[in-house]
Amino acid sequence: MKLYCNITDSVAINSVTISESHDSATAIATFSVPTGGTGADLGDLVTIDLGYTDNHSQVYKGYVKRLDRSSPDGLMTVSLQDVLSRALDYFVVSPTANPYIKQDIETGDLIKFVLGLAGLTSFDFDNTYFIFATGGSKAEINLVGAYDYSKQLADLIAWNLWAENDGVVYLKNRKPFPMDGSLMQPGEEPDDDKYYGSMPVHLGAINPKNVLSLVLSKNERDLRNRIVIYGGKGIVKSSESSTSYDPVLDAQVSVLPSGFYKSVCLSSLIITSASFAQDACDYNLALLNRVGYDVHLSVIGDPKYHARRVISLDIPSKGISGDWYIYSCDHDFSRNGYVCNMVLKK
Amino acid sequence: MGAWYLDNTRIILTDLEEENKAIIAKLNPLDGGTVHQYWGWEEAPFNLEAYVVGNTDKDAITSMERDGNSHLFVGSGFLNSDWNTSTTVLIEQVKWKSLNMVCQTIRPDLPTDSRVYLAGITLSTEEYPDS
Repeated sequence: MKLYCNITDSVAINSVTISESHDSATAIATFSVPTGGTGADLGDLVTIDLGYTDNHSQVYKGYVKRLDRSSPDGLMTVSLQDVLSRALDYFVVSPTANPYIKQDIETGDLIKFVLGLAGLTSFDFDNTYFIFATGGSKAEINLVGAYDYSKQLADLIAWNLWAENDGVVYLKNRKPFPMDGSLMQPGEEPDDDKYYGSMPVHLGAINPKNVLSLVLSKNERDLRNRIVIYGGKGIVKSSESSTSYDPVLDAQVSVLPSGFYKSVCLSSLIITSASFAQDACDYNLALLNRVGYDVHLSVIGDPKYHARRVISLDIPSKGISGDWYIYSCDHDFSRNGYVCNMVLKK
Repeated sequence: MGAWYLDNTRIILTDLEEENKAIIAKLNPLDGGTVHQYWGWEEAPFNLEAYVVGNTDKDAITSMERDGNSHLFVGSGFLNSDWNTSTTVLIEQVKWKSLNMVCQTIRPDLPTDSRVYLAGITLSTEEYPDS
């Protein structure tokens, strides 16, 4: 297997690292070359294509955010972030004394407006059917980070906001576990039928012979069994459950002590519909009230692996079977080899 | 072999050893076996043994090893056909052995009572690109 790497305006690649995660604002990449081995400069758009000579593809697209030149090893390290870094860097400041105002606006349209202020124009959004600032209420946008504002809206309805390596921003009902259409929520469809851009969500099976190491854990660290939402106009709604969903058993189980609730509170004055608030509580409970099954996995590198995809993995001797969601994926590419380090969730 | 020089310093070559080396990563899956990934090849340092006559030439080579600059290695009969008659090198290491010699005739242009050294020199053709 002969390794292959091509990076915009760069030669003599020494190493590449690409990190993607379901819960991170942007995908981050760094690569190092001998000093003088790259013409990339701050703000340049760079693509990274890597893999093997007979199997390679574009794995990353982002902007140069930082250049580090070190001695005595004579290396230049270039750090990149994807297009959503523009939203991270953009602080909304109205040109007049008055904030931007939106009313009766669907979630995706509101996010597009805010991200548009940051110069982002390529979107692939599904209709959330959640309408903010109804009944005369106003969504006032000013003195807030564009990404923070948009992420809060996505979190309220338990959707995910991210940028793919093609530079397009996505807003989807993407839960951090394999989806089969059983949640009965807007924008939901089985992973087997789903595509992000031209790339299928379900990537097929990982050959167990390519697994270098794995750790399987079962935990309740991220489990929350009570959701409370404070909205505008005095709206307070909640959802709670004394049992939690175990995805391996496919059944409700008792995890926390009886009567004990690990709570999450979400608050937004632009939630002005009681039914909207209740739905948001129910969707977040379905998202968070689950027993956590994690697999920390290292495999022979493959450019097709990305966060927010689904793979199937069967290693009966380790108690691992079925579909797993790629929660995070790091591509490590150097003279030590090409390895993908992933965190999978059930 | 003809005359050999490091920059303008004459050396009398007795031995020249070259090496070609591929960079291959070896990964070991849980199921066993080894997966090889070919990264590329590296310019391995090459080693030579040569007589150096006189302290002036010895000091000149020592300072070349310490200045961090690239130098010209000139000669004939290189094993590497890409080099022709000269190539630019970095001097990585020099080992000196002072020989017990009463009278030297290796360099007729130098006094017969000049010290004679057997130098083990490690050279690298790798150079850092200009910044």
